[in-house]
Amino acid sequence: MVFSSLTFLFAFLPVALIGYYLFPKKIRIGWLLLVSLVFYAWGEPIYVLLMIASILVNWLFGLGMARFERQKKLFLILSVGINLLLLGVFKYAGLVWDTVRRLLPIAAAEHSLSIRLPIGISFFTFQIMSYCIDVYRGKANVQKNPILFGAYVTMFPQLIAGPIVRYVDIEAQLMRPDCSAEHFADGIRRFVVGLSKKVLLANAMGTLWAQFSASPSENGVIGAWVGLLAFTFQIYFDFSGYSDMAIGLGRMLGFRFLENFDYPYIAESVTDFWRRWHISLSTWFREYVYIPLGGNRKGTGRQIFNLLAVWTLTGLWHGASWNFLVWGLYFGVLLILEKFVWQSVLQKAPRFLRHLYAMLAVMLGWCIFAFPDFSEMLAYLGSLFGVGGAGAISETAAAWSLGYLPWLLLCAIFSLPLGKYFLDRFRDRRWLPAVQTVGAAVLFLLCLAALASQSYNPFIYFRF
Amino acid sequence: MKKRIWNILSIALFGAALLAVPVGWLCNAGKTFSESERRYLAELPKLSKQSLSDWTFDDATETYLADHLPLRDALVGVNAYATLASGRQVSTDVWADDEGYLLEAPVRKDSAEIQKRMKRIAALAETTGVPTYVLAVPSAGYIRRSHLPGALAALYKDDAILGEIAASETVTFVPLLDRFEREGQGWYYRTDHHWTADGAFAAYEAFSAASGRTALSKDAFYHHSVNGYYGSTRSRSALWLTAPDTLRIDEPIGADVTVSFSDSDTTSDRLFFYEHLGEYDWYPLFLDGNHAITVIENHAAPEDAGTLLMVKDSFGNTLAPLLVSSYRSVVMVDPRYCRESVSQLCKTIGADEILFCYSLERIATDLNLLRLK
Repeated sequence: MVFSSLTFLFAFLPVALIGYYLFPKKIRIGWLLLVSLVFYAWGEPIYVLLMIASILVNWLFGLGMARFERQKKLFLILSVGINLLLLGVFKYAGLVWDTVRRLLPIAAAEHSLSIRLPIGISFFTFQIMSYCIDVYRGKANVQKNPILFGAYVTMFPQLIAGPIVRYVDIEAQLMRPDCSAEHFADGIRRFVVGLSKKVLLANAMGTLWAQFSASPSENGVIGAWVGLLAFTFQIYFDFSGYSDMAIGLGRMLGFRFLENFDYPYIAESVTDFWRRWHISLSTWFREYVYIPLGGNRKGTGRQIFNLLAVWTLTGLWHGASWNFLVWGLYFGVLLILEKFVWQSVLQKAPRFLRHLYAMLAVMLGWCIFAFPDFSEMLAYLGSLFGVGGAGAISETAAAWSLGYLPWLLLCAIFSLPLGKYFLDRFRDRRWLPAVQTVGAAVLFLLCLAALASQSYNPFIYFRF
Repeated sequence: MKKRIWNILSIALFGAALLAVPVGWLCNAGKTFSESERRYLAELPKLSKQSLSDWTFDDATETYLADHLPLRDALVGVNAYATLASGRQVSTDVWADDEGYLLEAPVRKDSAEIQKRMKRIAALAETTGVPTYVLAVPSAGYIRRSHLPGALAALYKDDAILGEIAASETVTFVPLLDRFEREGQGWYYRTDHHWTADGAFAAYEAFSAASGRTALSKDAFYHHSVNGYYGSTRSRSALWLTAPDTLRIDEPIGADVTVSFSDSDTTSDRLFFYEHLGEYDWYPLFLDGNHAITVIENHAAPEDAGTLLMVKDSFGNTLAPLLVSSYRSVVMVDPRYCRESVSQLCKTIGADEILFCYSLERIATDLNLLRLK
């Protein structure tokens, strides 16, 4: 069940919220755990059992670490090992098997391995690992109550698409959520903003990208760049929209999650971009991989190795496909180059050029990200530089580009921190809450209209 | 107003929306058919081992809820106008021009596909040995392209497609494009993809000229009009505020017809079926809509007036009543519903001429034409 579905908005959410606020405070978290399990089971009726088992086992490991100080490390190794095994089996085994099959054409390897990926496994295993590692390090208290621990892992706002909430960031809130009207109303507005990003902007950009990516050789150079720009906006508004919805839903339930995006497309370098994009994932890898490996404390050679290791993992975290590995390494190499080669040049360059460089690097990265098939990826990359011979722009690409121009401009505007500036500038004005409320209502209506239209499908074949 | 009051208002509005939709679902639960979409709505999915194991329950529920959403048509309309206002109608399959005409998006020119269809038609002409004519109706979008933004107008390739159709040497091409370009801007409905009575009449004159028959003047027909017609492009676009059309019906004076339908084994003495005006879709008013084979016999025509075999899509339904006075019988066959051999049918009825009457889109894309035998 995704947040932008009618099932979630008008069946699940009302029941979840009414129960949450109707029940006494003592059993609210229990209710939250229950509805979160239903939320997950709705899309994963079998794998929900896997998630419950993982929660129970890791909760026990946490207890074990607190109870048996000497075996602490063993419990940590078991916990991390099991979580990585889960990811390995359910996410990467198919990729590894397919690759082995291709490289070693042996008779026994004819059958493909089809293991369905459980939704959100990359998010909840990372959350669980953060808990166990922090308990091991003594940064977090062990959670003795399995319901509170289960609620932390399964909390439906962030369960399937993040942000990756670290246990230390939410530990205190689990005991005492802030259920004020102001917090709730704030959550509604944030949720509607996220829903609008997803339904109104990302989906529109997705349509444009689908048109351009279907036949890269027919777009022309300008068309190819417009298409890639559409994907650039689609992935940002899709993902940051989900994060906004998660943060908004969290607030409706009384929790405050950390921000996951900070206007990444205003970045002035690739390093800056990754400080602003999917912050919870970058933080996780920095805290639990980069720093434990030695970070920048063990010399340049080791730092380069550490960076490449982190970016290999970051790439593969995004999906079990080799293009994600290439995508991760692409950024790893760029970050290393920025750090050791052209940082000084970049800093002296005019601001405009720094933005242009960062956006070009990011957009070319999205081209690698978008195509699991390398020949398709190369075809599209080629079309960006005139390979394929469709000229500057084809008639069809021109019609689509011009039609979507207002929407592309709108996406560009909403990629800038203008909303933030507006809120800061007019924070104390009496009319601001009215504008926010009416704006949210209009956006919600437009989202509902767009969702209703997705299934509108007149059958008029017989009329022709 | 204080911020607190606006906060409470936000919560109240959001809560009201979250509760109103489920109440609407309960009210709509008994609804099984959508008039505007002409289709049955999804049924409430049943939870079963199968639906759980193949993970279809989630999707099926979403489809059911979307189909039964309260105020669905109104919401779809809001989205349609928002899409139009933001300039994104290139992504839809119906485009509104600057005079409010709702035009089908252009058909993609695929020379190989057109050639395949024309070869089937030519093969049929050779097999039967009967003079064969092809009448392809230009799209409303092409004829009215000056009313569209230039980038959209450029995507209509009717002239090139018609050029490829006309290149066949075995069949006679009935030229419509020049006259439609000159006079035909109003020969299409605003809310429907079909030609109007004027468009059909121009085609009747063009076919008569091509086949060497004399076309009757408009005075040889009674003209009836029905106001308030809403057609297919309005349904498809959901641009509900588009003004309705007027249907003009040209009824041949003095014709004495028997119309029989092969798929229902029924006969009638009328060309026009006004009872359909009580339904959502009025277009079946013409010859009761599409049937596998429709035989029109005009007892008032001379015995030797001949027989026309018309292979057609729905555009033929408005052309046929005009041709009735020129033939003893007009036999219409719609390959989408008829699996019989057209060449055999041609032989059985002793056709003197074969006319393919199709919209440009259908003749360029219809898969049934590839099965023609």
